[in-house]
Amino acid sequence: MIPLIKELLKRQRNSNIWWIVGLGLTVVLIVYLYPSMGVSEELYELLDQLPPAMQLIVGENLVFGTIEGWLQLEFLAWLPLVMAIYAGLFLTSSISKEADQRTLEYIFSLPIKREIFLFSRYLVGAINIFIILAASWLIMILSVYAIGESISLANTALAVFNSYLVTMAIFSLVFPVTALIDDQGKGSAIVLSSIFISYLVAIILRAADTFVEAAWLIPFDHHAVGDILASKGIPWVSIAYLVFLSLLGLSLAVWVYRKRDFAF
Amino acid sequence: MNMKTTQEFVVRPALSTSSLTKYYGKQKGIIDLTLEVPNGEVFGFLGPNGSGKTTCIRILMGYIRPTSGTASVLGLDSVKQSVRIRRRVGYLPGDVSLYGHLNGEEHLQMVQGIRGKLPKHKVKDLIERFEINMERKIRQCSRGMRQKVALLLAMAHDPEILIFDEPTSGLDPLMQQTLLYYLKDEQERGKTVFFSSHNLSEVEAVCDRVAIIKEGKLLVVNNVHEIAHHKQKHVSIMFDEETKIDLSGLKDMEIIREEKGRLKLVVKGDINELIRRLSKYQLLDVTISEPSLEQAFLKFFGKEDAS
Repeated sequence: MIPLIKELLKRQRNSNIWWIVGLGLTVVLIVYLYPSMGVSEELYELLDQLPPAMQLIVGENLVFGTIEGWLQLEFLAWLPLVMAIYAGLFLTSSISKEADQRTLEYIFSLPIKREIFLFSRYLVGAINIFIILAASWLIMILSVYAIGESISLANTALAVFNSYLVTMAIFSLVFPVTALIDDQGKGSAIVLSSIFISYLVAIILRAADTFVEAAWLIPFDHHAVGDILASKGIPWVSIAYLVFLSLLGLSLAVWVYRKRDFAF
Repeated sequence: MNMKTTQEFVVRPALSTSSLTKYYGKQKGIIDLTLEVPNGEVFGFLGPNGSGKTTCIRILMGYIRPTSGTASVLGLDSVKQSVRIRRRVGYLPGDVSLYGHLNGEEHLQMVQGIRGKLPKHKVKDLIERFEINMERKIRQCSRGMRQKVALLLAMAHDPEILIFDEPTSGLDPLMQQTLLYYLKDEQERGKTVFFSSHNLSEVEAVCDRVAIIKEGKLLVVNNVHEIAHHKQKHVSIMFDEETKIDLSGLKDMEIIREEKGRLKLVVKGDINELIRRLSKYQLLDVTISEPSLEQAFLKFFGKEDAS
């Protein structure tokens, strides 16, 4: 598995750098704007007037007028969605594309089990998502200190870790889809639209206050950044559920990959 | 002698299929294909595009599962033991795609990481014989160079069997020749070679036996020369313009051109009968030519006119 991981890490290196640079610059800009915009009462009054559904997009327990609240509003609330897009693109480029461009035929000419190939992709994806989120968190913390503010390292780290688990659950759930689709374009379209639809459905169901149980099933519903930043404790149930979804997605992907034909 | 010892003496074919059938939904891939390739043979697999050659090879390598029937390589089941098969086989996919961002050396390191240490002399020999540029990234290589790198990667671990799908595609004629010599050398070292091809002259040059497949069905498996010679012989006879040659009553024979003092015919059966008949006449010249494998191939696919 190590040679497969090395090859993919090498191939993904530039893409990861660009994602870190992109997210890093975004968070630097957001933090830089905090002293001028983040404490604006007008902004928070405006947010307060938004319908509940719109407010839910940025998460519950938003604390107005603090750097935590500002980062939640402008950055942390969106992080799982942005990283889910990364996860979807990563999977289609590392699994569907391999079949699409037939490098997979070469890989499977070597004595490699199908599940080993999948695990290598899963592992590299998990590592990449972790690195990008960890780098973003570090840049965020350094930027906050650079403007003379202070922020809880533990709470922000936990909030970013929560984003990581949500992203990993989505990553794992779209994993079987990419394991089945050999066309990168088609795979990307299906995966990205599924991510957006599940995101919107979670918001709509929660906002409508009906079928809340159904919303609970969607990984995005377990992004509890507001609760974490407000020091309301570690959401253990959500963590357990997200880990369960990750294992379920991975198992399903291995099962379909072992069963399927590779006719290229 | 106990059972175990007896089993050790059982000679397994290098490669075999039994009633192998594959359907892609309602579309047929291969139908009831039974084939056996003994150890040490160079075996050619011929057929037009879409005839099922690649499907058969992919089933052997475990990429796809048969709808029914079985396939095995070195006695190992292609469905259940495909990883063990790939450990002992060198497989070159048709029109192979390698990683564009890696060069030959990095590909080789990757193969080494997966297969374990590769025999240095073998790698060196392959690089030298095929004049492979190991430093250039694959995306910057010509099609021929990519094919040569792929050949190196398929053969570097000195496998027992070589399964190649259109191995000479993309190679220049000189390199094609080098590859064919190499395959012959491998056969002399006891290796089995199974390859599909469109290039009939290369099959004729190196193969011991050949199978012809059409629309998923196996038409014939035979010695290369048998296939070329078995079906028909072209006979050209020159004689004095006054001579009248009577060939009536001869079976499996067709006159294709008749001119004064010249006769061209095709004999599909035993040629001895014709020779006996001709011995009664004073002839100027007789030539009997055997059809090339290409002519035989075209005949199988009903395209005699094209030849």
